[in-house]
Amino acid sequence: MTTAGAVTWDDLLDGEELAHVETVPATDARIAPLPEDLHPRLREILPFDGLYEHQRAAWDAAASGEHLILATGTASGKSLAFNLPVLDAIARNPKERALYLYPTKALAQDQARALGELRAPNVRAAIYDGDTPGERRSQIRRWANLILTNPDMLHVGVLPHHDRWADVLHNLRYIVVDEAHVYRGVFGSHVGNVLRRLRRLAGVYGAEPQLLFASATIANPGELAAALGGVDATVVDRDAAPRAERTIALWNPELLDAELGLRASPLGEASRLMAALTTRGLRTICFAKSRKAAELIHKFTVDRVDSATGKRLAPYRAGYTPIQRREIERRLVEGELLGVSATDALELGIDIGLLDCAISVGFPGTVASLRQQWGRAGRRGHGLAVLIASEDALDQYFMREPAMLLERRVEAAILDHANPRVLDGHVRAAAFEAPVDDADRATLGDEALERAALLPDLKHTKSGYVWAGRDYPAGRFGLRSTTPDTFTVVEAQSGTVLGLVERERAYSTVHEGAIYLHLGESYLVRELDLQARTAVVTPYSGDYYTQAKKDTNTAIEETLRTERRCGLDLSFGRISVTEQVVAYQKKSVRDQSTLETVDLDLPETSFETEAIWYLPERAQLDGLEKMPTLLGTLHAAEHSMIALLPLWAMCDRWDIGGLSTNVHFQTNRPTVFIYDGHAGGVGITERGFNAFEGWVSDTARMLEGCPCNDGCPSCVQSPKCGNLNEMLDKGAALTLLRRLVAASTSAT
Amino acid sequence: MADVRELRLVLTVQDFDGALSFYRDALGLDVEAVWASEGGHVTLLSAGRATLELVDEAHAAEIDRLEVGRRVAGPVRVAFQVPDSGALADTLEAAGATRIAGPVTTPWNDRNVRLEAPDGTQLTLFTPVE
Repeated sequence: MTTAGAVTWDDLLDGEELAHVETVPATDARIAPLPEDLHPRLREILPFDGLYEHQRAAWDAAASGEHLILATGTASGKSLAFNLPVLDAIARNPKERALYLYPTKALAQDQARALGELRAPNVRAAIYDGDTPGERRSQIRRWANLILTNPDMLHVGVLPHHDRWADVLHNLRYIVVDEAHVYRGVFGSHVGNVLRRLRRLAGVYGAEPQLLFASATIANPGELAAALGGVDATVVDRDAAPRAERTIALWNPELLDAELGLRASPLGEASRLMAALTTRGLRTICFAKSRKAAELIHKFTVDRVDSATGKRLAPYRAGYTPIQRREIERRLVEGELLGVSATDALELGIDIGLLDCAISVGFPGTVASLRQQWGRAGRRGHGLAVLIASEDALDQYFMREPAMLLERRVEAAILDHANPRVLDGHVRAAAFEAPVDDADRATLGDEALERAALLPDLKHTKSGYVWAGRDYPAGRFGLRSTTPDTFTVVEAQSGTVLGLVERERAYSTVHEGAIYLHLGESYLVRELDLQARTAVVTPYSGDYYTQAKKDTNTAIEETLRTERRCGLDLSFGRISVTEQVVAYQKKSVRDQSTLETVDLDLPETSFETEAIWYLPERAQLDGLEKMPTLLGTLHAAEHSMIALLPLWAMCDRWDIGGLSTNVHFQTNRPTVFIYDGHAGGVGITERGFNAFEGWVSDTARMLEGCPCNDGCPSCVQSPKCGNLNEMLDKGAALTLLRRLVAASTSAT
Repeated sequence: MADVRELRLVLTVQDFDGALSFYRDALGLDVEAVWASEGGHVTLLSAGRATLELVDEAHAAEIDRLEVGRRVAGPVRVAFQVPDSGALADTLEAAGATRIAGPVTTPWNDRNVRLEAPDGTQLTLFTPVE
């Protein structure tokens, strides 16, 4: 047996590239006694005679009839924490029922396996999803007391046919929502409504189920439970599981050209590190953002190691069959494999326990994700966790300000179930399921009643609002977008549907000639059929990407809040955004140079959404007021603020849009708009409104720290800019932001 | 059209955990449901489409001859169609199965491997060759 002490990585962590290295000490487990009242048969099957304190706290909350959200780290035993109350209830009375919701089939499958291994008394667990054969469904409804399903199935397959589910709903004691942090943004806003519909129908059948949420560590677990379930939930977030000592390294590839922001390839750096670690026999997983990247890292690593080690490396990606995945997992756990390079889409479902080292290539978008990836490191009492930075502004900001990454709050998971674009469909579906009346405010929410009064296809009767249409409304919309007006992306050879894209985004992401990314795979769009609303794509392995050029206009529809902040007028409200995609550029993956610009002829689209906008005062623009400096100032400030908004709201910069203008037709002043890219909005920009001072000052620090002079991809340039990153004045934007920061500090 | 909707093969095994890790993990069958009776346990695994193949003694002997070269199977043999019988047979061997013979290509162009599972059940893995 080797021990962790025998193999070291210290000598690999002293180059120029190391932006930061620290060691987080191990923590011991904090153990609480098993609850006295735990069913004796469950006591027998537990692996040890005690619980982590957070598991015990979860038990106590559930036992007192409270709703609960658990937000603790990877491998902290969250499953056991929510399983125990459920299994105890079923052990006492097999008629009690529980519904478990998982965002993917693979995760439901993992939980079904785990439940099978627990061997709890009286449990009859079954998976109920789109693959469940018809004849089996009625059997599951009658017989299973623990049903694993997904929100989409609940939405179209369960709630509209609730009479068939009467016995389940009548006896529904627990609703378990695992991986709750995944339910954010548009998807989360829908799931928030599905859970409200479920709670209401359970009430119709006389049950009042408890909600048990489990989430990765996020900033706002209580708020997430309230937004998703409409309930006050007890928050359990003090992780009492033991943690191995962990070395954390932030690795910034060497700067090759400061003006272009060009750095050595993160993929090359990852393979160099991975080769060194695996050669020493250290089990390592490397997460990359695309399949192409994962495969390149694998290839480069194999090139660097001897052939015996090379045979013990493998890529791991979506598209493998479950058998292939299990095989790789098994070989990794047993040490046959030393290194795996994976796409980070897979971080949720990998069953590999702990390894020695985890390398994340490029910030995965949220601190919660990064922690989930890093959580894999620590197999033998000491783990190594590395982030290799990309050129992206947020990555580079973290390299200069490690504390912002390592010590700061985790982001908040944001959703807005009351977004009318999302809510209306669910109000119709609810009215179809049972008349909606005032008593439903408690479960469906006040907004649902307000919308019900406005919807023409609902009829107001004595028993409440009822559905007046002929079809069944839940069948009209899915949970993954805010509008039924979506384009289907189809792979030409196999005919496989890869996904749905809302019309507002279709023109900029799946126009003819676009390179479309899906689960880390690249596709070339062959044809966008506006009538049939389909985009036909074929796999693509070339070395350019595309960026759409569009004309954007915004109009303020309603100002909801205006406050004096940072010495200027800051507003939050609803705006309409009109966009027209007019061209696209092919850009080299290698050096971002423009290869070709192609004109496009596409119709205008418009949508209403949430936004913040601010109007810098004349004094704040002193010396910057001449064109084109003025526009360059506002535009660069807008881009850099968009790059940092994901620090507050769990979202991608691709979820956010912006517009800067030297004079807006409604404000008659220079104005910067930052808006939610999803029609209706899901609450992202309101987060920004609330955190405006911190947002502005962090953005100023980001610009100050970036080593370029005139702006680069690591600060003011945006990979999704509709103006193709023209008219950006980094220095002037910094001057403006500094003046805002000064105003905010002098005000307090 | 018959009223039978499902063919379910029920294996009573001595080593339940061992069988679970063999059929579920090594063979890779998905869990459909799990339940417990008083003192006992059941796991239902999905295994694709089920069919019932009736053969007479002469044909059984012929299959044994083709796959193995001698008469080995009892009255029940469980056959799984898989994407790559050879590779999966290696995996199953590593998971405790005993290889009896194969892979061989049958006259009807399947690639067959005969194994004995740890619980004693005789298995054929077969892959239609394009």
